[in-house]
Amino acid sequence: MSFLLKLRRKLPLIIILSFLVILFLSEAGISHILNKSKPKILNYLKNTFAYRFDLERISFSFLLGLHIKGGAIFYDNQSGPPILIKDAFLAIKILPLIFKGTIAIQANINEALFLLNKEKEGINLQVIFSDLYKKMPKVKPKALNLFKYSFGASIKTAKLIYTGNACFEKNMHLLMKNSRIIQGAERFKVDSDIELNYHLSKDTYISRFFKNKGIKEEVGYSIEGNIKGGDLIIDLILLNIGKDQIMGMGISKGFSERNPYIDIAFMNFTISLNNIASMKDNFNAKGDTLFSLKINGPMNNAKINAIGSLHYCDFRYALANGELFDIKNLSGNLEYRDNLLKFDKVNLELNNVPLNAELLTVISDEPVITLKVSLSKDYLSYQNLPLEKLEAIFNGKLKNTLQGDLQINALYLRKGVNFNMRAGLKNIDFDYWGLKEKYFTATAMEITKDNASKIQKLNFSNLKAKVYTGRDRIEIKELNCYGYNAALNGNINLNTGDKTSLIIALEGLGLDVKTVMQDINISDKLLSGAMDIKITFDNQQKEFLKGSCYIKNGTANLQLLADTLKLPALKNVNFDIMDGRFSLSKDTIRVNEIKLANPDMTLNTSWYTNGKIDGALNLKIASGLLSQSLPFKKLLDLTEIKKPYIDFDFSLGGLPKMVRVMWLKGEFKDKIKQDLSAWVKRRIENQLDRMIDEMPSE
Amino acid sequence: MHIKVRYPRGSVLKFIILILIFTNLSCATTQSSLYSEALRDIKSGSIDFAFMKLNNYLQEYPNSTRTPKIKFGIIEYYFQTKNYRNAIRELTKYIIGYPDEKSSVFAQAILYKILLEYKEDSPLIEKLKEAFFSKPIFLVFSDSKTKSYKSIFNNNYKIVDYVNEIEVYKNNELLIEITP
Repeated sequence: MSFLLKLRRKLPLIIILSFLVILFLSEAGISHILNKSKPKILNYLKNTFAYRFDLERISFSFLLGLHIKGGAIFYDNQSGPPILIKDAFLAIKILPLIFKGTIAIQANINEALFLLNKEKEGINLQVIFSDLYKKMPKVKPKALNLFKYSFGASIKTAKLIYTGNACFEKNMHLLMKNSRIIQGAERFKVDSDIELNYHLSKDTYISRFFKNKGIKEEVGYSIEGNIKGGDLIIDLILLNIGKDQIMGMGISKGFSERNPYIDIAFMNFTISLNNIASMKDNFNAKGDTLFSLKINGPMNNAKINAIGSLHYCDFRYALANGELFDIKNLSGNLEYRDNLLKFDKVNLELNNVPLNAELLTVISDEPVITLKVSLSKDYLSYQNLPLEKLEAIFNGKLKNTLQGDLQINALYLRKGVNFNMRAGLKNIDFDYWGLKEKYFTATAMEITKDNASKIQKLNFSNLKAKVYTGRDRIEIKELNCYGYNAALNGNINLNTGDKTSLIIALEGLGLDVKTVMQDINISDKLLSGAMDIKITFDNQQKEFLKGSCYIKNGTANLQLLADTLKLPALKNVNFDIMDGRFSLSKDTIRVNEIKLANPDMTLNTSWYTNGKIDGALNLKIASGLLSQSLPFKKLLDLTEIKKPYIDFDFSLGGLPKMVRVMWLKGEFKDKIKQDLSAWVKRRIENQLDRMIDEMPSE
Repeated sequence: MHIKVRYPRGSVLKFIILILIFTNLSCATTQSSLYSEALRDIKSGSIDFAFMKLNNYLQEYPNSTRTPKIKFGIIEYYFQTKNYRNAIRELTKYIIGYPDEKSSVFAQAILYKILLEYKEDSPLIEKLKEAFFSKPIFLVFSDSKTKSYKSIFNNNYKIVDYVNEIEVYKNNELLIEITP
């Protein structure tokens, strides 16, 4: 084959190769020129847009256009560039120009980094966009221009990092993936996937609540809009969260201004918690929610308002120590406005315990919380807790520990009378997250019980306890506090298994009787002494409250007895020991035995009351003491009883506040009845009646 | 011609006093006779007529010293004729209006009985019960204390206070037993 023939055959290849060589040489040449001209380009950009630019490397390709490797835009000279294009191509599409007469500028960004921050003028990226946009050739309809104009962009990955202080953490970023942006003269469209990454460091207490120590959420979104005047009318915002779709619309007024006013609304969308990955991964969340969301205001200070409701949602969170938060059937209304999160009319089952709740939180790094949790009346009744209402209200801050005030309110209905019971704990500090043991302290605790006619209270200080929690149980051990010149200690066990059991055991040694009696307002007859007291509460027992008290070296005011017996010496009786045992059931208060003893007198009484009194009282008084009363001296002489002590036995009846007393048969009474004339007996009875009539109502 | 008739001053005074005395006497007679008529009706067993006359008496002489006794009688009539609606109304007014009357405790007993039988859920029941036991008693030589009252309808009421209960009798028949 001749050379010419061979050449002819290879000509197309040669032409192509030559073309490619020329193309390569041209691209290399242009790229070289561009790189050589980099200072001029940067200077031009700075002069045109009034921003500092930087380009690491720039090259040209006929196919892909300008290739920028390492491009940056600086907001000011003080900080690093908020826009860093790591790898991008900028091209003018030929085909739309030929066939549609459109100048289509296409930017393809492979990798970019955006640092978002709030500046005085607005959000930094928006400020830059605004300034660049205003200095770019204006988009005009074709009628006024020779060509139409369109701008398209694609972003493979762009990381948007918030450099301000996000709530709780700084470490938050958005990753835009596979984005496509098209902007024509009047239309605007974005399609993208976005990934929210909110990493919570282990040092941040809030991270304790998140199993995965953060939030990672992938959302697909699409925005379509029209540019009218200076505004961007957003016809549709479509968010794809898992299988759920959320639709919204809105407006960005003055969208090319430095701080446009945005008004976007997503109305009545339903979203299943199963489709929110962060909720599912961190809290095993299930269930449906219905929400409306509004974002409006200047871009740098846009307010987010959300209102919605949760319907039978489940959450499950287990800790290493076996603690389990198994929340079922959570329903309630949720509202977020001005950093205030309100969650009310909430019903839920926490570890199978049905609760009602209300929550008000100021969202900040240290959320301020008002949480009210109450148990339903039916549940209290089912669990044999003798209460009509039981609620706990916490006011304070959620930090590494819970800090604030805690109030526990209970309503105890007994025989148609309401008793409000409250335990107010001031300045509590509760290490709720301690895995092995959680410490609990409070500077003061006031326990009050009141009804329409009476207020009773107990005050304690420096409360300390260790709390141990596990699945279905809370144990409070080494509970210590101080009050009434004494220390009290105890334990509390709450088990929420099949049948809730609450056992409280408290013990105090050497309490000052005088101040205790003043506060609990049971009797003003005990004037002094040191009291040891033991109380146990067990809701599973029929007699759910049992107690005993032991008073040493005390003084009692027995004015009534002194007046009745005409024995002034009994007005203030010193006693060595007074002890008693009592119990309380749903229907009955039982005082098993109260003994008071001193050398001149022994008093022994027991009674029970279920609205009425039924009891007995035995009084043994030294004859010597009785002889100090003139009437009794006469009676003793009349009966000729010569015993060192005289026994008086009484039956007690009536109502607790109005006790009826009947003197029972005995040697002394029988002899008096036998020896006294009828009129003397009547006179004695009349005198007693008069005395009773004159008695104060208490 | 103008004729002036002069009456001696003393005669005029005497005349006025006489008129006043006669008027008063006639009033007293009417008041007393109305009451006596009612009593006669009670004695003859015409309690309906007695009731009407007692009512008439109360309208004519609302401030009479007999008023509490008659009002209790009217209550008894309502109770006897099972007109409980009116009985409850009158009893409530009576207990509030005459708390210190001897019959007041028996009015309470009748009201308590009516409420127990016909308005079991009334909150008044507990209040009445408390009122019965609102005073402590001290039984020294006997095991009870008794108070009695005879009504205009000649019913004998008796209340017996024991240490743990109260019994109310009407004509020696147990009307009601009250425990605290």
